[in-house]
Amino acid sequence: MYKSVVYKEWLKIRWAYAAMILISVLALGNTILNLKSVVRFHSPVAVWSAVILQSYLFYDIFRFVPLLVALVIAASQFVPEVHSSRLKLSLHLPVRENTIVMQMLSVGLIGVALIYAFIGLALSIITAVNFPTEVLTSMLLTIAPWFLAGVVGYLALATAIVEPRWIRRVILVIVGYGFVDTLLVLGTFKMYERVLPQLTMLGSFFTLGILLSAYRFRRGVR
Amino acid sequence: MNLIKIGRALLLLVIAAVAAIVVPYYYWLAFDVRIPITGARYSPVTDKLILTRATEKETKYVDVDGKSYTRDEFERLTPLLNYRQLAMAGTMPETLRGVPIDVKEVALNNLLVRGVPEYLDVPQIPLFPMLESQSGRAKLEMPDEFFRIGQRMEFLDAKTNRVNEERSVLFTQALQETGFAFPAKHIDGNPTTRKAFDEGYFVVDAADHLFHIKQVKGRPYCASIKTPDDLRIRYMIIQEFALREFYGIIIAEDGRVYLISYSGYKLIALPIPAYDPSTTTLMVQGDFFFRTISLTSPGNLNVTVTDRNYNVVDSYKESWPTKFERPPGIIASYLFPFTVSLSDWSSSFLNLYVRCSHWAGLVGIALSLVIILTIWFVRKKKIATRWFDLLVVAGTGVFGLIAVLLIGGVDDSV
Repeated sequence: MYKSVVYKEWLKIRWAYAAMILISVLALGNTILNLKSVVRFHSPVAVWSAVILQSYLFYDIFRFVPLLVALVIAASQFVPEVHSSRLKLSLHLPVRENTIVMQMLSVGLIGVALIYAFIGLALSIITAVNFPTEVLTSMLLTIAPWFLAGVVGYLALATAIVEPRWIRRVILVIVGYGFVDTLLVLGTFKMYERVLPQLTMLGSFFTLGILLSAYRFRRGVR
Repeated sequence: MNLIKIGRALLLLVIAAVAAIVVPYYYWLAFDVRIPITGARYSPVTDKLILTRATEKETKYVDVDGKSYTRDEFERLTPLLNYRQLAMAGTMPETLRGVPIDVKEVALNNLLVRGVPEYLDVPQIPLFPMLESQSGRAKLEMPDEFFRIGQRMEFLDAKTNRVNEERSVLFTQALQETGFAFPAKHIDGNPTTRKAFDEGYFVVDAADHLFHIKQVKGRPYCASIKTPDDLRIRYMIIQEFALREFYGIIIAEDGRVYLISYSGYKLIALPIPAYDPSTTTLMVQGDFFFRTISLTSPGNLNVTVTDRNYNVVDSYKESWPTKFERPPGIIASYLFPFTVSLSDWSSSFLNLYVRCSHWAGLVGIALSLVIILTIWFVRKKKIATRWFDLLVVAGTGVFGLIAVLLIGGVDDSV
C-alpha cells in the first residue's frame, strides 16, 4: 500500500521536485563561482580571513533555498488534494485515515530530506576542498537551522493547506511564519549552536498537526 | 482520535511558545523606555569625577557635587580626553598639574579597552593568523597561514589548504620547550593588520597555564607567564598600545580583573570589585595621569579612579531603576508570567533566554484562567474534556490563552 502512496505522491510532485533540484544546482553553481571569483580577485588568505575572522558566509544564498524547496513541495503535494476535495477519496481507502495522511507526509519529507542531503553534501565538499575542518564544522552548524526552517515550513504549510477553515489556515500560517522567522535570523556563523536542540524539539511538535487538519477536513467542518 | 488529540496538544504548545517569544518582543518594541546612559570621566583639573548623562535631547555634564557644566566647560575640564577639540580651538593648556603638555605625549598615553558582554561571548572559528611582529615593514601584513593548537600547533596554508609541516614542527617544539601542555583552552589575540604593531597571542594551555606566543623574524617566540595558582581565565582582551604598558586584560572565572604588564609579564590586579562579565561592561580608560575603570550594567555604574600605579584616588557608585523596575516593566511582569527572547545582550549566541516574573506573573495567569473559563461557560463547553488546555493556560498565562483561542477545539467550526 505504501508503494502506491509513494507513486501517487510522486506523480503530484515530480515537476516541482525537478524544478527544486534545478534551483539547488543553480544555487550551488552560484556559490562555487562566487567563491572562485573572490579567490581570484583577492588572495586565498584574504578569503580565509573574511570567512574565519569576519564571518563571511560564502554559502548564504542557502538561507532561503531549503525553505523554498519545502514550501513548493508541500504545496504541490497538498493543494491538489484539497482542491475539489480529492483527499476525501484517499481518506476512504481501506487503510486507517491517520496512517495514510502520515504516509503522504513521510513521502514529502523524505523527498525534501534527499534534496537537503544533496545540498549539504555538495556544500561540505566545496568547503572541505577550500578550507580547514573548523570551517566545515562552522558551515554545517550555520546551515542546520536553515534546513530546520525548511522542515518546519513544510509541516506547517501542509497542516494549513489541509485545514478546511480559512481563519485557522491563516492562524497556522502566521504561527509557522513566526517559528521559521526565529530560525532565519541573519548574523554570524554558529550563532544557533546552543539553541538548536531546543528549537528542533519544538519544531518537531508540528509533525502530528496535520492529523487534526485531516480529521476536520474529512468531517467536513465548515 | 488519540493521535489527533496529541497532534492538537503539541500544536497548542508550539503556538504558546511562539507567543511567548513574539508577544513580549512587540510589547517592548512599543513600550520600551530610553534610559539615560551615564558615564564618568575624571577631571585632572578639578580632581573630581564628571558624570555624562546622555538623554534623548542632550548630554548633561554634572560633577559629583551636583555642579553642572556646558559641553565647552566639560571639554576644558577633561583636556586629555578632548585634546583634539581643544588643540583645534587653541584652548589646550600648556601645563597640567605642573607638567608641560605635549599633544603627541597625550595621544600616546590615551588608552581605552572595553569588555562588552556580547562581544566576549561570541561564536568563533578556532583558527588564527600568526602575523610577523618584526617584518621590517611599516605596515603589518596578513600571513598566508592560519594556525590551530590541538594536540600540537599546526599551520595551515591558505593557498593549498594543507598543513605546513616545517613551521608546525618548529612552533610545536618551541612551545614544548617552554612547558606547554597541549591542547590550548583559550587563544586570544588581536588578529588584524589595522594596528601599529603585533604582539601575537596569549594562550591558556590544558593545565591552565598562560603563555605568550608570537612570531619574530619567522621564528617562534614563546614565553611562559607566571600567574597565581588559583587563577582560572575566563576571557582575555588583547590590544596593542604604543605606550607598551600592558598587553591586555584578563577576566578571571571569579570575576577579578588583571592587566598583563610589559614588565616581566607581571599581573596587576585592578582595584575593583569582582564583576560578572556576562551582565556588565568593563571599561578601562587611561590618560597621562589617571586610570578610570568603569563597570556599567543596566541599573548600575561603579567607577574607580586610580593613579598610574593603580592606587585608588577616587570612586563613585550610582544606581537607577532598570527597564524592568519602571512602569512598562512592572506592567509586563503582571501581564506575562515569563518572557522568552531569542537574543540577549549577555551573549552573541542565540538562545532561549527566559525571564521569569515571579509572583506578579500569577495575576496574569489568574486573569487568563478567568477569561478562558468565562468563554467556555458562555459557549457551553465542557471543562472536563479540556483539562489539558486549562493546564497550559495555568502554566503559561496569556500565551496559553492566546494559543487555546487560536487553535480552538477539535470539532469547533471556528
